[in-house]
Parts: sequence; structure tokens; C-alpha cells
Amino acid sequence: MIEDEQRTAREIVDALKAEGYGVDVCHDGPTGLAAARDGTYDAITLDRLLPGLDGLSLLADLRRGGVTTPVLVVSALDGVDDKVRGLRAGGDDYLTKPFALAELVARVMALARRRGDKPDGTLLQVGPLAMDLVGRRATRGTRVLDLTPREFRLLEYFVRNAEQALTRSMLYQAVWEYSFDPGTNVIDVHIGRLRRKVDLDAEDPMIRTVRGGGWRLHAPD
Amino acid sequence: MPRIERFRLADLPRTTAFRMTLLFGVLMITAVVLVLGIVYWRTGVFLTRRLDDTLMRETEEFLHTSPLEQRTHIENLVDSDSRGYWKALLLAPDGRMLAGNLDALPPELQGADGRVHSLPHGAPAALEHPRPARGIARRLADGGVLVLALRTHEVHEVRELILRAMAAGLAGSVGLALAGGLVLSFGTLRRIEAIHRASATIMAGDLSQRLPTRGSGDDFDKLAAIVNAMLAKIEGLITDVKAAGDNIAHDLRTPLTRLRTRLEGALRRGGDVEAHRAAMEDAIADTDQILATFRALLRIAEVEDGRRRAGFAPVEPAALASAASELYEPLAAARDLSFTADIQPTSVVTGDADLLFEALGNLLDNAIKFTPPGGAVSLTLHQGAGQPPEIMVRDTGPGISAEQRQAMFRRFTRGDHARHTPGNGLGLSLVAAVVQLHGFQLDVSEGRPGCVMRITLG
Repeated sequence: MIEDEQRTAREIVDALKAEGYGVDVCHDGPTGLAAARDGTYDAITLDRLLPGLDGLSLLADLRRGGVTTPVLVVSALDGVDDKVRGLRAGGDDYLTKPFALAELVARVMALARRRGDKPDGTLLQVGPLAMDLVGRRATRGTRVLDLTPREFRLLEYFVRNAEQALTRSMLYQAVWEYSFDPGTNVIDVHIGRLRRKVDLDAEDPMIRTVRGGGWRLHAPD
Repeated sequence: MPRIERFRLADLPRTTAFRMTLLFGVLMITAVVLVLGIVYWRTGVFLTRRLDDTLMRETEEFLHTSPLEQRTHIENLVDSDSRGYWKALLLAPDGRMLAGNLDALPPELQGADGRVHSLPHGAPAALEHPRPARGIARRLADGGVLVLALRTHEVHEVRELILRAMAAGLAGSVGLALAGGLVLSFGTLRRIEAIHRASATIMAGDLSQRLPTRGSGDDFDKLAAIVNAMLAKIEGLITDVKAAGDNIAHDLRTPLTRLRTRLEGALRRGGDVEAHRAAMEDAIADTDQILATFRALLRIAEVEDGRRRAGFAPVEPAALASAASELYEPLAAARDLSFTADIQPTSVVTGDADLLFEALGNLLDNAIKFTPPGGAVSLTLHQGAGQPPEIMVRDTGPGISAEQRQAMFRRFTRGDHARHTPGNGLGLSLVAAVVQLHGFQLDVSEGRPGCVMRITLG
């Protein structure tokens, strides 16, 4: 983590450690760049405004040096241009300050996971839940789920990121085309509908609410 | 505060008006000199020619006089000319003087060629000072010579008159030009000074001041009108910002107070871990509300900036409307509202799809939020022949009264019914900003019951 604000850094470290990650913290640009070059990390969080070296220049340097570690750019600037610039410089995701810790943790985990086991192919499976991406068919056990195209895409995103906390904004960004912050309720009702189709009352719930905001697709034991 | 410079008389020659007047003065004087110069020259030529004609005529007349009367004729001519214009001389073939008032043949006329010559030194006369004249000498049939001369002082007098007129005219023109320049530039300077004073007051912070105009519609008035329009716009913006600032203070003070009270209460009550956790979760929810308000404000500022026009691209309204309807339909259903969408294919418009989607989302969100359970919300997209596409969101909520409608698109204004609904009051301001950015039209009308919001995409 490259972050110059010490208190924020401490909180983020705690939250990530709670999820079982080992975290190194650098408080300025040059040491951050050196650490990012030498270390083998699953993901990097990078503040845009750093003493010594601006975050985006650091990122560009890093990418020029051939380092492909996923980077989450964290910034107090949230104009559309700022986001585009952040991603263009080589960032993999962009998060605006202030953020919920849960959001940051979920995004870091998604980035770290992205490198590793990325489910591929046209047949996806999590526990009793199976999706045929070509036939556009989803089943739980023997039961065929009657999903709208959008619900199908939502479920696919859940399945691809099974066991991970997914926040509202992550889901919205992944499944809807227009970039916009639709507020809380709108996404919640979509998840609610999907949930009623995936989890019948008698079944062990798979889509579970995560404390601090978000959901997780969980394979029943 | 900028120092107000008082204009001094020494500044006058530097003003544009003064310089222009001087320039025109010089042009005018040149014209006067040219015209009078031509008159001067042509008058001289004309008067001289008349003298020459007279001389020729008189010579001819003499030639027709019988030789016996020739002397008498000359004597009569000289005698009857009381003003002394005429000079005449009749010489016998042997050079003797027969008649006339000249002493000798002027040198210029020695040729006696019968043509008029100029006699700049006059004709030699016994009793008077020689004056410039025109003269003619003609050899007679008997071998004698006739000399006639007319003084040209009349020509000179007329010319002198013209010259004097010219001098007087010049003096007058120069005087007028200077005076006109002074008066005009003084007027200009006075107006500039008035503008200067008004500007100084404005720069000192009084934005309600305007630059003075005379109502004459002259250049200064036009410039002042432009600047005044600009000032009105700036004043409006500042007032908006100030109102928004006041509203931010108001809208943030409430949740901040709630947050503080909640934290204090939790601290005082103590209680178990669960109680603390609940208090903290509430506190975080309050903080999120405050942050959402900030974000919405920044977003509106970003949209109003106008720079996003650079990213405009073709947008298909039907795709936009379908996506919005699909996004919001579950929310309406969850609130027990019937939701209908009637989306017709339309022509493509130019704009920012994300912003248009957000604007439409806000309209739907509002309609759903303010319509009581059991009501209906509908979304329609139509296009009349030869008309731009039109998106309409209709609800059966409490509607919007005429005076609320006025204030509705201002920031932070929420209807009476909105007091108990979560939201930051910025949704419609954003819609208005997006519509304005695109140059589209937004109207709000009575739905009886409810409210109809219509965006005309073009």
C-alpha cells in the first residue's frame, strides 16, 4: 500500500490483515515505487497525491518497468476525467476518497483474485449452482432458474467472483453499461429479486449479505 | 482596492476622440486649402482672360476707326478712364508718339505681334508708378504702332481676397478642430471616468452596481450593456453559489448535529459492544449521507462546467430509456407502484450517454420516491414527425405547485412533501444541469394527479 496519510493507512492495513493479507506500507512516492518494483505483491493500492512523486507518474514508471501487479488507484479527485486518467496510466481500478473500508477491501480482493484463479470457459459452477454461458441457462441443482438477461449477468459476476464480498458499486459497474452512482436502493432491489430466484425459502442461502455493505456468493457446505 | 485615477487635462491629447478629431481636422483643412487653391487659380485665369478679351476687342475697334479719328479715339479712351485702368500709345511710322499716356513702348511688346503679353513691370508712364499689366502692340497699316495695356490690379485684388478668405478659413478650421477634439475627448474621458468609478465599486465587492449608460445606444452604451449583462450573469452565479453555500451549511448542519448527538449519546450511555456497534453504524450512515451531498454538489459543478461537451457522441434514446426502465422497475415494484414503459424507436441524438442516463435515472428515482404506494409511474419515449425525441416521466405523486416549480430546479430546493424523504435535494438540479449542457428542453407540468417531467431531446 502506498499511502501518505498515516491514520488512513493504519485502518486499511488492519482491515486487510483481518482478511488474511500481509500488507507493506510506504508513505511516499520514491520508496513506494522501489517496493512495488522489487516485491512480489498480489495487489497495490496507490494514492494519487504523494510526497516526492505523483501517484500517476509512479504508476506509469511501474508499468514501463514491466511490473503488472494489479493497482487500485485511490484518490480524492472524482471527476470523470480523473478516473479516465487514472485508468489510462495503468490502473486496474479507481476508488474515490472517502470510501468505505469494506469497499476498498472488496476491490483489493477482487484485484488480487483476478491474477489467480480466474474461472474460464463457458460452463461455470459454484456448489449446486451451474451456469451455461452459451445456452444462457442457469440451474441450482435440478431447478432451472428463470432469469432476465440482466439477472443472468449479475449471477455470472457473482459466480465468477464466488466467495468474495462484492459491493453495490462493484456490481453496478460490472453489470450495467452506464457509469453513474444510482444510490443504494436501486441495486438492492435487483439483488433481492435475484436472491429470491436463487435461494428458495427451504434452501441454504447462497447469496449472503456482508456486514458493511455488499453480498457474497457462498457455496453451501 | 484599485486606485481611481482622476483624469487630467494633459491626458486629453492621448484620447482616441481627440486624435480622431485632429485627424479629421487635418483632412478638413486640406480639403479647404485644395478647394480655395483651385478657386484662386481658376479665378486668376478667368479674370486675365477677360482682360485679354477686352484688349483684343479694343484693338479691333481701333483698327476699324478711320485714320483721321484714331488719335481722338485714343485720347477719348484715356480720358474717359477716370480710374486709370487703360494705358495706350499710338506711334507714328517714324516712332513719334502721336497720342496716349505711355512714354515708350514696353520692352515685352517690342515685337508688335498683335498678341497679348504680360507686363509684370507695368507700362512706362510718366506720372505714376508702374503697375503689372496685360498689354498688346499692333503694327498698323501705315507702319505706325498701337499699344494698349490694362492694369491687372483687379485680378490681384480678387486673388488676395481669396487668400485672405483662405487664411481666415484655416484659422477657423484649426480652432474648430481643436475645440471639437477637446469637447469630444472630454466627453469620452468623463464617461470612462464614470465607468472607472463603477468598476472600482464592483471590484470592491458590490456586484449589484452596473456601468452607467446614457440610453443613446452609442458605442459606449453597447459596451456597457455587454459588460452589464456579464455582471448580471456573474452576480446570478455568485448568488447561486452563496445560496448553495447557505444551503450546504443548512443541509449539512442537520446531519452533522445528528451525528454528533448520536456519538455523544452512545458515549454517555455506555452499554455493551452491540449498542456501540449500532451507534457507530448509524454514525457511518449519517456520514455517508453527508458525503453523498458533497458528491452531488461536485457533480453538478462538473456538469455545469460544460467541458463534458467535448465527449459528446451519438446516443440512442431508446437504448437509454430501456436500460433506465429496467434499472428502476424493480424499485417501483418494491414500493408497490405500478410501472409502465412505452418506448418507441426514435432518431439518434448527440450527447453524453452517461449523463443522460443519470438525468433520466434521477427523474425516475424522484417519481418513485415521491409517489405513495399504490400509485403509478410511467416512462414514455416518443417522437412526433419532424420533432425531436421526447422522454416523459409521469407519476401520481403529490405533484408540484406552481411556486414550487419555480424553485424546483434550484439547488437544494425540495418540495414540502420531500422533508421526510431521504435525499439531498440535488437530483433535479443535476437533471436541469445535464439538460442545459445538452441544449435540450425540460418542462414540468401538472399531471392531475401527480407530475409530468418532459425532456425534449433537441
